[in-house]
Amino acid sequence: MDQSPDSVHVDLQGDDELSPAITQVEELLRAFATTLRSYRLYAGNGPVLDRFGEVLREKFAALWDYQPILNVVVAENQILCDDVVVYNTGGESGDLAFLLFKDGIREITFLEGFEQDEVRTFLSILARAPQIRPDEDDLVTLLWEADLKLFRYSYVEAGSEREEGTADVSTASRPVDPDAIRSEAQAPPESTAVSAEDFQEARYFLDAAELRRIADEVRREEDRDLWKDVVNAVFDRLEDGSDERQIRIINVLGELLPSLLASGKADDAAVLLGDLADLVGRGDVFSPAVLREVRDLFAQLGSPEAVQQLVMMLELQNAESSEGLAALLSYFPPEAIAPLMRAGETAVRPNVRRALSQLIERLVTANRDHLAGLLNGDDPVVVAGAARWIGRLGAGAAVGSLVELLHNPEPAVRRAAIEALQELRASAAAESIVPLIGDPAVEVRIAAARALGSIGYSGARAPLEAAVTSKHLRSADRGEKVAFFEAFGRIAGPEGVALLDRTLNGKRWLGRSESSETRACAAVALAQIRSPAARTALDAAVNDHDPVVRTAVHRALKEVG
Amino acid sequence: MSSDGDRAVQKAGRDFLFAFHSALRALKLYPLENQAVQNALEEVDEAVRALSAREGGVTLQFVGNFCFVNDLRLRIDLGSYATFGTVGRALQKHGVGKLDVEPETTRREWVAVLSLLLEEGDDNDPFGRLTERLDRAGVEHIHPAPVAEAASSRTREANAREIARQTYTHSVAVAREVMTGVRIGKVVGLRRVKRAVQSIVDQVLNNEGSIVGMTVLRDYDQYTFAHSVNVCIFSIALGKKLGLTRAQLYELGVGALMHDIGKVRMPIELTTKAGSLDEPEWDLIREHPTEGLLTLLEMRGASDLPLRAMLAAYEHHMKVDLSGYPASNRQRNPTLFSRIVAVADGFDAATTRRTYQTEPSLPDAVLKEMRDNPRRGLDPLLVKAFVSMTGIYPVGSVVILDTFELAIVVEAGARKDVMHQPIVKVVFDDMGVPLPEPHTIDLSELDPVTGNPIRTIIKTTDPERYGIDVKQYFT
Repeated sequence: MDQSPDSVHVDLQGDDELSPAITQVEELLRAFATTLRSYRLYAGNGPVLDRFGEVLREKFAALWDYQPILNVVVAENQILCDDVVVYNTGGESGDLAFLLFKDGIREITFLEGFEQDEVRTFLSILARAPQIRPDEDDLVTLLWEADLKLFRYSYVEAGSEREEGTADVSTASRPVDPDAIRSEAQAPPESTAVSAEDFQEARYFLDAAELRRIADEVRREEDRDLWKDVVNAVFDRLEDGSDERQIRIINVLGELLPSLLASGKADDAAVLLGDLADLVGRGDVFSPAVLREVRDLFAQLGSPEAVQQLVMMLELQNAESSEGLAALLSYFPPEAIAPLMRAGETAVRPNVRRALSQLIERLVTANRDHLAGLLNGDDPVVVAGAARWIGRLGAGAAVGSLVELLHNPEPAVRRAAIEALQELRASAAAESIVPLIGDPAVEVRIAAARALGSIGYSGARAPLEAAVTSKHLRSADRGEKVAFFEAFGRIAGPEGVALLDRTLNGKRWLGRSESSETRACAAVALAQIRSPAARTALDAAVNDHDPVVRTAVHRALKEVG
Repeated sequence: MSSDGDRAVQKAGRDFLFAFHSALRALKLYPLENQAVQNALEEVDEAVRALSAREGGVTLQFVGNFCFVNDLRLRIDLGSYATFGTVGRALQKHGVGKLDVEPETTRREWVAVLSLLLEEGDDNDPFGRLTERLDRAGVEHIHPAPVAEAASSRTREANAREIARQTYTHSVAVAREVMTGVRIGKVVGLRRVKRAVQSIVDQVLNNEGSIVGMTVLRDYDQYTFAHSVNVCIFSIALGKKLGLTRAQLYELGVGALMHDIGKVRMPIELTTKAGSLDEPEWDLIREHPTEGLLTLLEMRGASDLPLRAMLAAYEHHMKVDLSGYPASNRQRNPTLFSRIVAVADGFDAATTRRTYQTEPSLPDAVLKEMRDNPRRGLDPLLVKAFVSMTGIYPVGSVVILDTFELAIVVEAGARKDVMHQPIVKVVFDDMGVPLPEPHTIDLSELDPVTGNPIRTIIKTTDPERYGIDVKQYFT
């Protein structure tokens, strides 16, 4: 439509609101800096941050009324918008401008909508930035990985100005012989030259089926066990390398193991150790010098420090025993048994103790001979542990060493030795156990009584009889009483009924009975004997007025049948 | 110009822009005879006179968000941003990028120009319609120029190329730093490698033509470093073609950039040896993938290094049938990323002059050989995808046209049907004379009369034969 100049009447309103309202930008950046400080202060959480976040969103919304994007330039201590300083600081190291500037960011752009979700990610990254160590990813890398869609930045690389002029440029200023061009053009084509058939697009462009194949392969790549590929590569080269390379690879493996374990990849570590053990097993792969390195590597695994780390990892992950961990432990040297036992005793979490116990079992089963050696150690925790495992594994050859441990100054060791002998049913050692029913340590006395009862060592009858009638036992705790009465019942058999009947049903001086607990223990002992006389004794107390005794008698009668 | 002079032009330019804006506004609100309009027009005249007296004329230009008066960018501030915006939009809606104003401009001419600028622009050809009406109105001293599409696209292209060049040179520097650091036993972090690869990924995603073009900047003295960066660029570009995600492209890029790191463990006299290598020397060279893997495993921050990157260093000389090197005793199936790097590596190595390869092959011949020679052992599907990415005549190829001009391929043909018709820069005319300003031609352009291509490629040629340094046309 053609119009004469003076017929034009268009409302100008709104035309004045085109560029960034600088005051809005200033307010926004101030709010940004305040929110950033709060993010650091409250470690990215808390209702206070929500309020700051809301203010920031309002500031952005106000700005978007003027323009759809905000582009600012970052200087060391300032931020500028259209050459106007919109943010100024005193150059504090954690400041917004400096944070961005120091990692090379020179220009940033926010797009409308940034304030909805991406602002949180951005603030979290900025809040982390002052703590980033020199060897960690810097701000630019973190922002790249965050892949924010509504935030753009440009940056410079440190020292990039020195990288100018890498290409050595020369100019083609001399004419060339045009006939040379013509004759080359007219020369018959060489076999390598592009031919007419090369213009067929089918030869170069992937068809639908091929694209599908690629897409499938990309998907498969994501699920691939890349670690196995790396380990296979390393072991291929370990297998055929020179001594020097083999030692280098062993060192690499030594570095890898802790990092694998630290990241909880026990399965991967087990695969690695398994392959290494296989190569050692072949016998012809390593020279003696390399073999020493390999053995050192395995030995390192068994060091107390390494085991402590493993236990810490288990504690941190609150892990149950896993197949991977079990497989890993099978490659630990016998030297690892002692530190593992100690760790098993000191682990805090019950499931970790359980897991360690399972792991130790695998290790000791494969290294029984090593166990006996541990009985001579200095660490009572380990000695006691080894003694118990000897008992559980039925390693009868160690009976002599266990008997020696009965004199060990540590009650825990004496007890463990007794229990091991009990497990071994070592009647030859029973005589040595007898004195321990008078041991100063209650747990040793209990263990000794139980062991003797369990073995059925008749030589212990008299001392046990003395014990169950002693003043001492009357004042002992219930556990000790039960152990002694039970042992006496088992060893004395029918000959012990009279004594036990007296204890259960008899009256002492002035018509007083034994204590409820002692009488109950006598009932327990009678249940072990199972003779008619024992039953008669129990029947006599079946309606006893003392509920403790009555309950014990009823239970004993059930056992007797 | 001195800063005092700048300030004076700033002020005069700003006065002119404000007068221009006032006149536009007055004409919009009042009839021509209104005193406010007349005053505003008088101010425009005065501003033009003042500037012309100093500069000989007035040129008002808007480039993007910036306003220039006589090539001086006017500073936008709180007191001027709306004025800038209004004037810029008035020009833009008519497709005007620039106004040249002669000192002799009359008030009648200003009225015509300003009034027409106030109207809505023509949907189809705003600039053509405006100039047509200005002609009819007898405007002789004000010359609008269109928003220079070609010029601005050239500017954008130049900017993109400059950014690509910076990314490229920086990445070469990073490769050099890392490899040299490893050679001398320095503790090398991966932070700079990550940033370099991330930049290349961004460039390939947003500016592929420019960054791929940089691969011709091969430097004999920095072969290993530039080659690593080239392989990184080609690999990422191929990965993009195959539909890999941004994160996958990053992993691929790290592997590609570090694929030859094992070479730094080779004796330096071997990697810099002129001429061919004998068998024992080749045996040593064949160790570099293993050395690469071990080096990456030993490197600080290896836990951060993608496993695929380590495998790319180890597997990039393995063939699809597992021949090649290193040999595999255990089960192995080179990763997709390793096979991509192998293709990129094979192409760049064969087209580059390097120590133990004195004569590089022509790019098209290399592609053909990669495709047709099974002994190369490359994944045929990936080679196919690679060629569809580079075109039959890859960027940097020197070609003889049927006009007997010599040209350099600067961009692959964009469509399937024009892959043999890339965009070229003609550098020598048909008389063998180098062109001081090489011109760019799309070889898929057809002669409107015959319907045939205006120029076609006869064959590729060796740039050295004609003393052409391909690099200079990409910097």
